[in-house]
Formats: sequence, structure tokens, C-alpha cells
Amino acid sequence: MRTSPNRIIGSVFGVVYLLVGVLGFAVTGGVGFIATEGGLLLGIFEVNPLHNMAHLLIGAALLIAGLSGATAAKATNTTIGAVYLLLGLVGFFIADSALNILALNTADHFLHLASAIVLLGVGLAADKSVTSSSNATA
Amino acid sequence: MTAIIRLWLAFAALGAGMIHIAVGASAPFPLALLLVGFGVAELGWGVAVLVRGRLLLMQAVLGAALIPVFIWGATATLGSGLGVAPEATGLPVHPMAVASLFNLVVAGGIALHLRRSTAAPARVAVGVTSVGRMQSTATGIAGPTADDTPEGARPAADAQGWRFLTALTLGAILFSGLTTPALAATDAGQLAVPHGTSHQH
Repeated sequence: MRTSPNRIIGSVFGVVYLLVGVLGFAVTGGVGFIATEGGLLLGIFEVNPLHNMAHLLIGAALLIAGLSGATAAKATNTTIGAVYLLLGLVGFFIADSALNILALNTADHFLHLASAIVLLGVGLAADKSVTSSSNATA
Repeated sequence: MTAIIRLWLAFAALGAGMIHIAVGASAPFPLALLLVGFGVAELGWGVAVLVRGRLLLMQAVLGAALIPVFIWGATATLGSGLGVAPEATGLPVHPMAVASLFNLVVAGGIALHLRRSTAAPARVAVGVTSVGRMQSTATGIAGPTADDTPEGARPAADAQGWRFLTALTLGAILFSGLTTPALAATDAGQLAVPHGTSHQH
């Protein structure tokens, strides 16, 4: 665990996203499940119940993969990082429409982009020996 | 080149790519095609560098990274007194400034690396020759056998440890801190603001 950047980042981000998902429900009372206007988490990040559920699922996936092993953590970090990068970009284009079912605001985009870069960076650049050894044994 | 520098160059390419795509989405036709094309190429190069663990197509990227900066400069010039309507050429200043900064970082990083690696072969050649001579003596195989791959073309072995993680996190915060406001300042990003309740209704 201590020698794999993917496991460390996956576990830390997993716990943070689980926490964010749980806290999100405290500010989304009375907000529609896919409402385009949500509540403000920490006074900055706009969330709705669907957004909270996404945080919980992502947090769980990252934490489980991080605790499981380097291969799982690397794959999960890369996948979720790519999805966040896409969301960070596409989010701007759908934000003024009914497609904004995650109630995204600019602060959300910042967080998603930062998460995307950390997860994608560690997933693609670190623990290369894991992939090499997996291929060698296949 | 260390894994950290390579990581930051990849981040810069990703940032430039995202901004160019966002700006290109609302730019007039010929510019839109160019900017979206460059944006996709920058995203692809950034991801490829992260995956392969080495800088790719350095000579080509060194020149290509400066083309969007040149395009921005040219359109700004054309739109300021050369008879072309500003709405036909005008690109948003803030996003293009940040994207150009990223482009200059990529070009500058690669240029520095190329400059260092051209000085290195002379030193490496001496070592390779002596190592090759010793090994050919021992094995009977002629020629150099040491790793004569240029430094930047070697896959990263140092993308580990707390130093790497700290650099990764700092790079991500810096990248996001520059990219998000730039994306928000594009036409596409300004459409996003009405749904952000961080502003006053």
C-alpha cells in the first residue's frame, strides 16, 4: 500500500468522495433528484441528490480498488479520471440546459478537473511495473 | 528529464487542449476547425505522454505548440485595424492567454530538454564506447551494448514516492486553478454561470 501511488491516491480520494457524498445529503433536502439548481455544499459546490449518489459510488469504487491492489487501483483511477476530465469539459457545454442533471456549477468544474488530473496522472504515469508484470504473466 | 517535469508538461498540454476546444466551439468556422483540431491533438499528446512515460514527437510538438499562439496573435492583429471585422477574428483574451501560456510551457520544456540532450550524447558516447569495449571483450560481441536511448525517450522509472504524489497534486491544483477560470471565460463557460448558484441571482 505505502509503495503504490495508485493505492494511496485511490484510498484517499475514495474516503474524501464518500464523505462529500454523505455531507451532500445535508444540503439537498427538498431538492429534486435531478434538479438543475441544487444546494451548496460548503457554500461553494452545487449538488443535487443524483450528484451525491455519484460521489458515493465513485468514492466506494476508489476506496475498494485502493484497498484491493495496485492493478485495480490503477485501472479505477484511470477510468474515473477520464470520466471526470470528460465531465469537466462537457459540463460547460450542458450547464445551461436541462441536461445539467448533476446541478454543476463552476466550483464543481474546478473540483472535477483537479480530481481528473490527479487520478488520470497517477493512473497513467505511476505503477507501470504493475502493468508490465501483469502482461508478462498473461 | 524527471517524471515530474514530464507530468507537468502533459498537464499543460491537457489544459491547452481543453481551452482550445472550448474556445473553438464558439469561434468562426475556419478558426473553430483549427482550434478544435489543435485541442484534440494536445489532449492526445498529453495522454500519450502520461501513458508512454516519455516525451513523444518532440521536434514536431516543439513547433506545433507555437502555432495556436501564432494564430491568436494573427487574429488579434487582423481584428485591430486591418479591415477584418472583430467578430470574425476575435478570440477571448483570458482563455487564449492561459492556453498560450500552457503552449509556451510545453514548447519551452521540450526546447530545454532537447538542448540538454544534444549536449549529453558527447558525454554518453565516451561512456558507451568504453562500456561497449569492455563488454565486447568479455562476451565476444562487438559494438556498444549500453542503453544509448536519448534520455527523454526512456520510460519513467521515478514516478513513485511522496515527492511524485506531492508534485502531482500541486500540478493538478495549479492546472485546475488556471484552466477552470479560463474555461469559464469562454462563451461555453459563460453559459454555465447562470446555473451556478455561487453567483447572485
